[in-house]
Amino acid sequence: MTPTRLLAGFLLALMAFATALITAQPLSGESAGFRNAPASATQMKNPYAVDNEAAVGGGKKLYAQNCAQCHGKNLQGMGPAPTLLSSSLKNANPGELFWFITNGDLNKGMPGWAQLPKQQRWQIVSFLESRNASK
Amino acid sequence: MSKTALYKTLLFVGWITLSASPAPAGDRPYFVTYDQTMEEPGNLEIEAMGLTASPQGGNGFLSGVTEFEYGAKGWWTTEFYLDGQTTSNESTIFTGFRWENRFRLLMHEHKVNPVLYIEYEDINGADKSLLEIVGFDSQYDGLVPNREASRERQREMEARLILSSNINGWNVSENFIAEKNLAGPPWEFGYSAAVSRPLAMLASATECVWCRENFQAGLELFGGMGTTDNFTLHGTSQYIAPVLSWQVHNALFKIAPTFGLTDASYRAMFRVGVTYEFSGFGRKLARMFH
Repeated sequence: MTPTRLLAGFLLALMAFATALITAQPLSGESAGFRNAPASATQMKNPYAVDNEAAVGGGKKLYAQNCAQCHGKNLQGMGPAPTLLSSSLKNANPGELFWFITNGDLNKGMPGWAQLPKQQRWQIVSFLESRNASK
Repeated sequence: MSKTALYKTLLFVGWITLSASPAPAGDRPYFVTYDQTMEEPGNLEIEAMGLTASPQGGNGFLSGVTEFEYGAKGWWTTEFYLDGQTTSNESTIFTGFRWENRFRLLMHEHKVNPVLYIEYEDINGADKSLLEIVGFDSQYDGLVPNREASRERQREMEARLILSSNINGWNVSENFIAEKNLAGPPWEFGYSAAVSRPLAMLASATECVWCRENFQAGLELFGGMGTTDNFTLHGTSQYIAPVLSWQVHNALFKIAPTFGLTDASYRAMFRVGVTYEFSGFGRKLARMFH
């Protein structure tokens, strides 16, 4: 096989693989809940109760490390990043919040946080729920 | 530069230094492998990396890379690198620069997340940063004296397909690398793969420096895969490296003792890196000059 054919084959294989990935479904299917979260997201249960002080405390620390720079120390929102003390957040299902934290909205500047272990993403959900419950 | 502009620049540098926020926990402990994590939009991350090694029968060296990483969009991260090295009994030289862009191809999290990486390098033959291993790169390249090696100009394009997954707290990443000198053929190929995970999955409620969740450990494997004329692992350099990172306040420290697996590889290398993140850099910059 000539080098040019080898390279062409390699590139074609990459393109086919990329196409397969692009046409693949996201982790949880399609639909439109909180921030376009799929319906399946509502099935996910938060393993930590909102009154679990350790989970909420850990979530508060994670929020300060990862979220406060855009959403503000008091969840008040800053610039294009919205407040996280709102009725839409209060009404959102915990699974939808978890889905949105995991996936983000890259086109609107909200990064996904899938690099955090899922336990930590749930801790952030618990903290947000606790703050919205006490509002 | 006028005095006013200089004053504003110094004020700005002081301001962003004092207003640095806690670094988000997105950085992996890898040195060669990329995962799907992009820089947060508007954030600037500065990283200094050092590598020390010694080729068999040659002089030991210490190479340094300074990296400026900026989140242009949620799906686009751009980076600029400055490379240099010092070789014992020879000299200390600047070896060139690199400009890299990473584009996330899918906007949502999938089981496998592809990222396209394109880099332009303008370095010389004395560059010893070993940020990637391609083709038949070997420890014997390090035997060429600096004054001779630095005459070789390497204007190269590097492309990577980054595939990365997060599974139950583990990150698994694979990079397929193709690099070409713009002066002519051949294409050179390489790969890297890595796994890592935090030492604790749950975050503790209190601020702490030494808690396990601040540490990530893993393993990195990388090496060359020959060229278009000779696509093979035979005669290439291959490395394995346990990696460890520690996040403390705004900074991330990482180390990787690296071991060569083939005759062409350096027998051992040691890498260290320090990353510091300035959040909201773009916003602050815009506010400063408007």
